[in-house]
Amino acid sequence: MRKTKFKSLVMFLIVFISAFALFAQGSGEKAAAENTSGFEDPVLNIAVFGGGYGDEYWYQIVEMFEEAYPGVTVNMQISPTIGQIITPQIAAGDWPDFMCCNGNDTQGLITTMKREKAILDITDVFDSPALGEEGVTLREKMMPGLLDSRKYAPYGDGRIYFAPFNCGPTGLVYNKTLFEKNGWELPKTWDEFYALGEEAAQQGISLFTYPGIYPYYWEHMLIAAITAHAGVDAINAIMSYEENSWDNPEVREVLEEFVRMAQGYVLPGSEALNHTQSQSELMMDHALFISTGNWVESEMADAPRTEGFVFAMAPAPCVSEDETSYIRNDGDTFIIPAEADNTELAKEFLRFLYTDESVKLFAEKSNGVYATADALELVEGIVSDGVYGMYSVNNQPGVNAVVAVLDAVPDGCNVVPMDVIWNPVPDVLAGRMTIDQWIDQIESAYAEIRSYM
Amino acid sequence: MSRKNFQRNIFISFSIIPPLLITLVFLAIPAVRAFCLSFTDANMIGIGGTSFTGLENYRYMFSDQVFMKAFRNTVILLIVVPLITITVSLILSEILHRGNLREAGFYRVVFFFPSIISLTVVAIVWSFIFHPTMGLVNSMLDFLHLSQMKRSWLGTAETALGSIAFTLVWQAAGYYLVMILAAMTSINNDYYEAATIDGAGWFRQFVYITLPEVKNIIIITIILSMSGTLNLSFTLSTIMTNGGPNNASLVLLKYIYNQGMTNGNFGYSMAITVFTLLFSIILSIAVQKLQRREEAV
Repeated sequence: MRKTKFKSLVMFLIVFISAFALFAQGSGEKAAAENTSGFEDPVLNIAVFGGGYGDEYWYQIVEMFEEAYPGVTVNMQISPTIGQIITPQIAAGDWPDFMCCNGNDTQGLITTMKREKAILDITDVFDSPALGEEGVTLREKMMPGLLDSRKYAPYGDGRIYFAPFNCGPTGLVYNKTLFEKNGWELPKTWDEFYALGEEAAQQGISLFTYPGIYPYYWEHMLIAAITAHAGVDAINAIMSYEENSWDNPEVREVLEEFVRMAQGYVLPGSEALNHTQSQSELMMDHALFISTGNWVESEMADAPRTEGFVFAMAPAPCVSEDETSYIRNDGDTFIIPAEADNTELAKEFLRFLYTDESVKLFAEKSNGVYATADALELVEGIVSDGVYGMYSVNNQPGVNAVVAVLDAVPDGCNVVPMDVIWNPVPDVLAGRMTIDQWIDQIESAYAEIRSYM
Repeated sequence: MSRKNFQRNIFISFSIIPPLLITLVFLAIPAVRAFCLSFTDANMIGIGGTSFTGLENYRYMFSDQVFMKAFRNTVILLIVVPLITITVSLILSEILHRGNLREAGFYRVVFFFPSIISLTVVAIVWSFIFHPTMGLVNSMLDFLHLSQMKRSWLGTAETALGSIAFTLVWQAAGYYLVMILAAMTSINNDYYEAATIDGAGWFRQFVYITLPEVKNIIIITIILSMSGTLNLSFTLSTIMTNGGPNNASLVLLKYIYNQGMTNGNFGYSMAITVFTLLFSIILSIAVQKLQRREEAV
């Protein structure tokens, strides 16, 4: 009796171990067809951030690429937490050939890669002809001025390391229908904003709500507001941790205008809300504006809303009437790791992603807009009215776009700049912290960052 | 060696080797590696070279205001939460043990429920209970005509950590109740009968009979509750407040995560990890020492 038990235990272990071995092997590569693509190495390994835009576009574009280049096989890993999945692979020396990265890099992988210069220079891709178009370089096909930004050319030498995916406006999101119903005009200056706030208050509607749990959402509005008043150079100084970049009279004026919000213009309780809860408050018309991005429509697709609710986007407030309004633009990116095995095929895949077919497919499957110059014309009628309307704000007369992201902090520096800048906002708006204390805190963190440069 | 003995040994090795290997590979080696990494400036992807920086990470730690805040919050939780949790568990189990309630079984199940629910779910549910506009807490205050006490519990620096502590107590009290209740049921009923004859009331019986009899289990549950609080505070702080407002509810484990996973600073985050580990070891040794001293008295 005991012997049989022992035998069955051994059998169980054998079966378990072999099943484990099989499983471990099972995740290997697909079988390749005959290679007539013209590329020596026909296997492309890609890692894709699969967030609010869903997976469908990626599965289909990979299929289209494999069809257009017979013999090529694309192995794709796609997940909302792709950073966590590929970090251990990278640490073991196994780099993907191509990566699609989340714009705000919640897993820190891209920040680290940027800091360690582990990303391939892809300037040559943008200077080469665009696929399927005669005499046009890829650079000319992109949204004008975009590639000069430090988001895509992060080292200030004009060389491009990040390729734009879906760069779109982020700023003040509001309900177009509510404005039309009440005959309200979009305010331009801070004074007009607060005047509108008084008017809305009579109907029990607050001027702003915000996700106090993630206060960095304010960057969508404040970066543009600072740019409008203090200029592009001032915002670039902030993004590269320059001394007195926050302790600048013009920046201070914008912050003072911003903090006027604490005089009853913020929906009570906002400081305890997360992003979806605060966006829900907007969609129930409890507040007029929220600082967020163009992805809000797909993110909140299933959330309840007031009748006729239509998402719309407004540029940030200006200090005076004669200033140019600014709207911040941001989005996800593509990179090719410097250590990738198959950089040639990865570059070709990148070119392929910018073809008109791909741009339309992305609009159709993900309700998103590529960062190419004519993308908005191509996707008219394919994307929803809300998304089309929000992207159109970039084309409004008198509105300029600004793309600004914080530089990676130097190696060995332990400061988390996003936290230092934005975490105090709930305290500032609650009167527990003054603007001076806020600025001092940022300036001393910046000084620490500079000491590592 | 007889054949039977040989088989026995084989079976024991089969049983011991896999867990030993797993412990070694996934626990012991990473722990040693973490300890070594804490003396370097390693980043998350192991590129760009790693250099030995000695005690620099530890020196920096004590000048880092965010770390000090996270440490202070963690210490507060580690003192307050186990104390309240075990007190609540003790009172509830005494009621169940001596109360002769007909529904005792039902209460036991109900109290135990929170500890089998996923902690993420607990965090989401409680963040809605504390919700400033549609939350249960504020609605109840309205109902009780106490509207002046309404606030955004998770968004105010003074109440955010307290709200997390409350959720931790709610989540864990039922679990320790079952452990303490098990110890209480093994107390000889004669003691109580004798005490009743001598005229001792419920409170004196609790203090002079129940408490001394379950003292050991109380010490064990306090240590368990401390390690539980250290672990679970990460999930609650991440989901309910994201460490905010302005780090008012940031805890050590969350700061380790922020430094390691958001900032990619493995070296520094490992230094905080080692500190946290040492701190919790010292704390549990202290509690055990306290128990021994009590026993000696």
